[in-house]
Amino acid sequence: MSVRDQGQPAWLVGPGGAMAWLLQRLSGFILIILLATHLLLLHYGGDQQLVFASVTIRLKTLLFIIIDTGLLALGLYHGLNGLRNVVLDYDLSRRAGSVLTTVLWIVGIFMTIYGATALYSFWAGRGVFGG
Amino acid sequence: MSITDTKPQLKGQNVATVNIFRYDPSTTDEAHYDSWQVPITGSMTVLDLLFYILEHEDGSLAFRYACREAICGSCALYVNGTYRLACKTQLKDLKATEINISPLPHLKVIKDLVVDMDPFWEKYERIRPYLITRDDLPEKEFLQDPADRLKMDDMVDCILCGACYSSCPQCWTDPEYLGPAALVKMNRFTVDTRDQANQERTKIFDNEHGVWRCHTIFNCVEACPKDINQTYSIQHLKRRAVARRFGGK
Repeated sequence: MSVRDQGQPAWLVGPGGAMAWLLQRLSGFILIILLATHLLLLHYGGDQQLVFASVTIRLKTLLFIIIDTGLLALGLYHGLNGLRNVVLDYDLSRRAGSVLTTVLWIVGIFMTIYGATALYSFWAGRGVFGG
Repeated sequence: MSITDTKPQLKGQNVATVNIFRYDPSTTDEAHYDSWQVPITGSMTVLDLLFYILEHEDGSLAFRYACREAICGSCALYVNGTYRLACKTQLKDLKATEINISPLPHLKVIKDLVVDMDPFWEKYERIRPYLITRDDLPEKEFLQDPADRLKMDDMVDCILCGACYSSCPQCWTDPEYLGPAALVKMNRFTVDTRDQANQERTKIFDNEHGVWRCHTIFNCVEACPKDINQTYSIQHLKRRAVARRFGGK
């Protein structure tokens, strides 16, 4: 039987990593812009003292919350997708790769929600832990 | 007549110390380096050096070679910490009086400087390294625009020596990764305007053991004795895979 007749191994068929690769680059590019804006706002915007009152005011600012929500979600996506890429380098089986991806999505979504509870507490007019 | 009877005298000549990796599984499990003093001349190549040792010092030394003009890819070796073709590398270019010669790293050694290239060829076969057409074949020949041919210029220079495959950290950790040489050949056929198997080809390289394992480390580009930019080809395939997701060709 010639090489041409053998067909492709099963692992060659199925979805690839095109979207993960594209989103990693897009999130990286947006993160650079968000991070620069975040640093500029922290150093030059409003009251720069690191005390409870000024932080409270900052967390009631819509622009700051939008930027930090973006940083939180995209930072987590970028970091966890990077981690997935590193682990996949070690020849995981197709099933193990799927389990890894699912676990990282769950971790990412949970951490985004957990981070958002802190970010949005003052915007909602409540204290950090409902106080 | 023993092989040492014709050995040239070293007196008055430039001499290099040559250390060569030795391993013979039929006699021992241990690998070691053998050293020889070899008279060198101005235009002597690493392959000439190996022939000198084979003829005058040790007739059991195993190494691969064929064309002696950097076109067959048989004699790729690791010389003084760099991937080189033995036939193309002149000793004077090494600028060293001590020369260390090892087989291609990260491949199973069969004997001395000969490595098992089966994994390399297996990946090469997987990418279908030949023109695939759907339409009837032309009566005489496939005509191609010179501008289209120019797009493949870099890739058709590959002589399949395996230096890039041996140098790639992804090939070390993922035995299923296609590797730079196979992906360069894949790109050669995806940019070929005569090839009509883009959809099938995308399935082969757009997966977690295909182009997405390349993290643009550039070891392959540095190792290539033919100065091919493998990373460019792999990135081109990545862009093509993304384009296909959005309905592109």
